[in-house]
Amino acid sequence: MMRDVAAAGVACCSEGCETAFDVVVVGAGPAGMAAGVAAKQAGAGSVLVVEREAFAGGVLPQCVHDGFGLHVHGASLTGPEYAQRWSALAQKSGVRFAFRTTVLEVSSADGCFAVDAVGAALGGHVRLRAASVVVATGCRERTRGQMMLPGSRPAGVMTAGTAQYMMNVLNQMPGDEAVILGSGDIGLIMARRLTLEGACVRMVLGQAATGLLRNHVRCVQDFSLPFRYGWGVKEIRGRGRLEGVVIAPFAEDGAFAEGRDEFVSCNLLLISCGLIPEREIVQGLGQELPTGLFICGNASVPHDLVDQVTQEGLRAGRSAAACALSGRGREAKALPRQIDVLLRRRVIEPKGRVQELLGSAGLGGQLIPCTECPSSCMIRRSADGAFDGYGCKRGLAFAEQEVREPMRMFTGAARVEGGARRLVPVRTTAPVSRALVLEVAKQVRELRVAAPVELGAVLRRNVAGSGADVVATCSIAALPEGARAGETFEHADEIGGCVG
Amino acid sequence: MEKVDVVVIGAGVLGCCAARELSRYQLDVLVLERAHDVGEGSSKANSGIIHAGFHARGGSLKGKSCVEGNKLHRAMAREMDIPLVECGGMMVAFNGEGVEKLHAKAERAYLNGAGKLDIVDGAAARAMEPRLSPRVVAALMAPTTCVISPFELVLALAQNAQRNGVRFRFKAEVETVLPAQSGGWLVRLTDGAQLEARCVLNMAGDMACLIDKLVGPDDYQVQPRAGDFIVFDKQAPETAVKRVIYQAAENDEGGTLVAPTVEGNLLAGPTSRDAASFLDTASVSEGLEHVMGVARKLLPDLGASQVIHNFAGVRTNITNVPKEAKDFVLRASAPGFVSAIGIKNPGMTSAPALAKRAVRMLEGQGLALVDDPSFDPRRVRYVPFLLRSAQQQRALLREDPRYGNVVCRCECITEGDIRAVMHEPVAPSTLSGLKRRLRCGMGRCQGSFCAPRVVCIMADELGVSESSILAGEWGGHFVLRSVK
Repeated sequence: MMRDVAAAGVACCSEGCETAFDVVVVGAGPAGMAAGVAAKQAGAGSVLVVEREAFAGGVLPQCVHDGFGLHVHGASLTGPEYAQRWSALAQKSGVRFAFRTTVLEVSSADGCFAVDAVGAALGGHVRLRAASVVVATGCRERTRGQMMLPGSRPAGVMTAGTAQYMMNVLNQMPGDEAVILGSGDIGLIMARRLTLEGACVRMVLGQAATGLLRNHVRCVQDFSLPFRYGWGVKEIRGRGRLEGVVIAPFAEDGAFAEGRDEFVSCNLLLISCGLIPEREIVQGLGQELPTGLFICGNASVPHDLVDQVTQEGLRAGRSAAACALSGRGREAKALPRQIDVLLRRRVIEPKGRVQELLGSAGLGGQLIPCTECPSSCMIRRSADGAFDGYGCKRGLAFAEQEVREPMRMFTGAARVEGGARRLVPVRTTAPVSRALVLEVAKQVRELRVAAPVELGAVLRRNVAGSGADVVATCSIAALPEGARAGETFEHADEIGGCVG
Repeated sequence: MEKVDVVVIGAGVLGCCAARELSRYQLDVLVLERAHDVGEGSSKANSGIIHAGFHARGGSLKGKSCVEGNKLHRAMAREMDIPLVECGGMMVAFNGEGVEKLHAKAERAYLNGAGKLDIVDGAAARAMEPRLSPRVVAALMAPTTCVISPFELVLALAQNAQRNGVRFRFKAEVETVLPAQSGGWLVRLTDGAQLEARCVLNMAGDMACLIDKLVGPDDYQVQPRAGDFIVFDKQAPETAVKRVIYQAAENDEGGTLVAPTVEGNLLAGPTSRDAASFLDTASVSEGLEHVMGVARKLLPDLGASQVIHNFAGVRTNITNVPKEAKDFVLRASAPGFVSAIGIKNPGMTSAPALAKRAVRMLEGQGLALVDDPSFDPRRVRYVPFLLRSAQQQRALLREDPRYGNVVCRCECITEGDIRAVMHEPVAPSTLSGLKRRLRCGMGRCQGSFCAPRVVCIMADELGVSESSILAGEWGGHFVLRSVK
């Protein structure tokens, strides 16, 4: 179908529209934006990033939580903040964007690439030409279908990312009694998100604890959510709406253990069981990638951290530029220092720390998993109050604070009125007492913000008496004049502008 | 009281075929359907295979209507622009015993009027289907087997019937049928509404047997038999098969087969197992394992990584007739009251033939069939934006730029398509109804990306809240409420 569609109605771009580029990047997520920036900085003449959404950022705009950029930027940014940082950098570098434009297929043509795309901004269904192409199309989530989960097919069964998009972008509540299958990071993040919006998370379950330690601590442990690692969903029940799931533990052979079935009532089942790279647009090119085509970010292989995705995008963009330039007998420029530094930072986060935390219960003393930085140190507090196991002074300070009064950054989204989007992502200016987090969430839920909203705008001072303010983590434009709210689900942000 | 000439109970494939058949004549026809949409029962859980007619007992109504239906489907597909792929079919055998079964099937096909079918050896079969198992020793070739979109078929029939004057009433569940004083039938619905019909065509699928007992003899017993299916992704090279591939069971494989679909997916199934009720369309893990096992036996390269979906459907199985004597039941159970009972496989293939036969039965019961000169057999299919010509695309974009906004990335459906289909005849009212018309959400991401957006567009187009949009047939809402 994809290929049928690509062949069906390719028209030439409307008059005066430029259709040939040194580098075309497919996808304006973190990988694509980094690729665009690096390609331009390496000396590529014309770089176009094609994005199907109305805005840059890929999945980041719906990731309203923080923890992005710890490695490459040394700061814990929210998804929208990280996206805006890179879209600003891309614009400054001279990268051009075509929003609301979907690439249908990439094919080889006369020593260069043909990129078939559709979008009103391009005047319809057009064929772009590029010397090099970077595929930064991200990934999709495994669905219940791919997992061959049996049972009925009621409303209320979806991937965690779908629920995240609904709750954080569209202001749609997908359910209020949730079971989360899979201990992947999106599932854990959504357990907290649902809890903060007043839903009841009945259980988090999964084959093994695969998520990052900080997500397990901040999303599951902080709210005392029931979790069962080593368990899975056997059957989905319900007719119109999901009524519940049958769960069971896994036996050693990987099958469900006999006679241990339990029924958990719920009206929402979120599936967070792995990611699949999306690169069907280059399937026609065969297994061996032709010279000049680069795949990066989650389209290459799913990454745990956005920092890794950014670095991969930078590398792909630089290579794409070098390839395009060599075709003209020229060499790529060295990347500026500011970007080269980002590229060289070490980005590794220890895995398996959740099992370590759970496995060490009952060993005596108190275990404090440090969430200050990606090192994920496991700090132990002995009976006499002494700490050991911390890797730095910040870790020690964190452990002391954790004993005195745990502090957490609050992130969420607030209702916007008259805006190009329905919600504005928000955060607190500083961590607030963990005991206040639910009250902060309640006050944010009651907020009504008039568009336009500027990034960093204070939306509520001293929220819940915490001493911290609630600020916007994204700019939201006012609804364009003459546009009707709901006429379309999102209105294009005027960043970058479109070709043509 | 509302009076009509014919009431058709049930808007599945058979009810819609009958409705369209009746619309050729000067008759006032009303179709009553308990669901929100056409084809919501067994019809939507169908493989879409138009069988050649080598399965059913030679000379049975099942066999004859299958062969006749196979021919009628081609004509209908042309008239109503229904996607039909002349893919052909083969039934493969793995050993000598299986080869004997192939010969027996060829005999059945001949008796049912499907002509003489060839049997080829394993190498010849593999030359035609390179992915086929090296264990296959012979194959019965059935060139007239083809595949159709079951959703498009039912929709096209309903749209064409409606265009020719048939009325459809959804969410209309029959409570009882009583003889009317005028000599016809009084049909009472569960919402209290009543109407009078000169004739009734009872094509209510799983409910047909119960409704039949209201007016006719209590002679048949039916039980639900469920079948599990697995859907594989398009484009995956491992799933590249041209033909419908049946197998002569070696062990307990039953009638499980693999079939290409008109859209390019590969379908494997079904099983046949007792279900708790006719509404119990839950798939079960044993069933899915069985289907996967048979599919991999036929096509060893298939793997779980290409699977995108599973589902189950329920068929109506007559239980008080021995297997050798079992057949479709199509009869006048009372004057002016024709019922179709126990219509399971190959019901979709047979439907056009059964519908014609049912209408002739009504004529035999005294219903005058006067040709309606305004009858138009044609129906125009909605073609999604991205499958249109460059010229049409430019014109549509000028009219509404939202045609350029791809919403369903897997199946390449745009916002303009969704808005347009919401106003087509026999319009969808649920997310799954829209999915069956446009395929948005049927691709490899299974609606993970597009479903919430489709809900927004549907709600906007209908002028209702997003939380009022039903996900499917049975009252589940995709959006519970707004977050804030």
